Amino acid sequence: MGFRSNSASFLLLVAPLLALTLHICVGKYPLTPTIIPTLFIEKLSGVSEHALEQLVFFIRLPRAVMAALFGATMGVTGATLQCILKTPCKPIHTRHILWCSCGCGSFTSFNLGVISTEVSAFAFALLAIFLTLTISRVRGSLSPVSIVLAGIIVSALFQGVLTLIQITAQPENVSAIVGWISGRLNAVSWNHVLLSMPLALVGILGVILLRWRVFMLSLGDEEAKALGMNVERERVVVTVLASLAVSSVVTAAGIIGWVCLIAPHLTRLMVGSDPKRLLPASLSLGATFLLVADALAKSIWSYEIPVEF
Amino acid sequence: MIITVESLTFCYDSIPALRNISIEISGGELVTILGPNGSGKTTFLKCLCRLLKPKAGYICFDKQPIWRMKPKCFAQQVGYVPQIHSPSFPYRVIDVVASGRTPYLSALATPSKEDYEIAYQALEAVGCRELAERLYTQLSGGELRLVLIARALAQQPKILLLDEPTSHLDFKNKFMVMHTIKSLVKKGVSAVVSEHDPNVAVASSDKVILMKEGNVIAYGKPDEVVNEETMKILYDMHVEVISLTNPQLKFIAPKMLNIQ
Repeated sequence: MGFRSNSASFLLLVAPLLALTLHICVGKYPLTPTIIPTLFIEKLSGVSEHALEQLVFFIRLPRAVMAALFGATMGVTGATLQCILKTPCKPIHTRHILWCSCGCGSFTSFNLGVISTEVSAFAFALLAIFLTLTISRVRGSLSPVSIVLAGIIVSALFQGVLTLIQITAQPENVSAIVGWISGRLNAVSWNHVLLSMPLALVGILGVILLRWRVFMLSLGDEEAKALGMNVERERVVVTVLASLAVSSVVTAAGIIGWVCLIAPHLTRLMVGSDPKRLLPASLSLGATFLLVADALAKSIWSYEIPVEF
Repeated sequence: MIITVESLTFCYDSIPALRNISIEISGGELVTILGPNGSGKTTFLKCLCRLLKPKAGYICFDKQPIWRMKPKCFAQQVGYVPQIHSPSFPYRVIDVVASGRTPYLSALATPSKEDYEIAYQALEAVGCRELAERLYTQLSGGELRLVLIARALAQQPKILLLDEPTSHLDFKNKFMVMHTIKSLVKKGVSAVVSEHDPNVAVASSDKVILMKEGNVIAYGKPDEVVNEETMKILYDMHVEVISLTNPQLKFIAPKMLNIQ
């Protein structure tokens, strides 16, 4: 047990780093991994001789960091929502996560330069969270089932708005919208990363710090209440943290929904349902998974495949 | 700890489940609630552990109204073992038992080594330390009960509320669980237990509450309360109470219904 768990922790630490290196090196212009440290040293010492610097620091690195951040966020929040909504079953779960994404979606495309896209996408995400929680409270208590059902309603609503936007959008904007819907890691710059990083990190760290509470919520409301927890309040706190993290990365990189499904399941297979380790492990696996997937997406075809597929 | 219940009334929507119950349970006793299905046993226990808020009346622990206590504080004093629990994820048994330590943890903390040590001791106390590393979803019904009792013990409560702790248990384990509860009571814990088998109740409790249709019919020592007349009222069934001398025990035998 000790050896197995140690080696598993080691693997979980190393895997995302390896995947990150792979992601940076793979592409139209393949790099050897050994060049990366050289480039870093040159960058730090101010000597910039390599033309590759531009490629690595302004194109490859932001995309890789974004992919890692996105994967980590989706991994952690996916596992968290699985726990607090007690639904290992997938379809309902995806829909639930997507309401938030759709909220952002409606906005990012809807916005035509009145206020900044990020701010308005957030406003929409918050609106979606607020609507979901309000609707799920209509029948009194805030139970997992009611959150999931309300999530489906809100998700359908925003899906509709999104379709409407696509229909009415200018032809030149449609491709951008579709690109966003299928995930647009290829269009990511440092600005996107810097904008989404703080909230994503707050959300991820918050949820990981609260992991024992998340575990308690997964045991059942009555149990958690009998053990002195304010179940509704804690469920709202965790949901809001997770939603903030999700909306911040989705705003930047579009909808890549399936990471949040696969990563937690993979994690449960690897580390079991250990309440202390599930969330950190799904962070690592989520990041690794998306990095590898995106590396494949940008390398196996002459034209880049959107990572969502 | 003294439990005082004063004119407690509870309804599910408009259907009354508890009607004006007043009772006082002194500390360090094992009190068993006997009654037919749907008589209000579970509702009564849930009111005691604040899972249900009564429509009228009040409950005090050591003269302190329970609804004025802080949830965390309350959970450090009262352990509750539910009747049914359907596990949703394959957690390790020891983690589930350690969840009993939650009332002692701050919001961001996970249980420490000491907390896990207490959890192991709790498992030991119910005689299933060997289950610690097993998966919660793979336990039998009886093992599950014992694990849930262990979790309540890990809470180190002053009052234990157990909803049918002996259901799903085999012939021996029924008495074993009651014996375990009794040994805890000897250490100063008060326990209120709901039970279906009058024989188990009579053999192990200090006091018995007889409950029917949300009313308390009788409350007192098993010798005084459990007899042919009260059992007839309680279960609509004729029984014969047989007194055994060695060990000194009452045995309630059903006089079989006329099945032809």
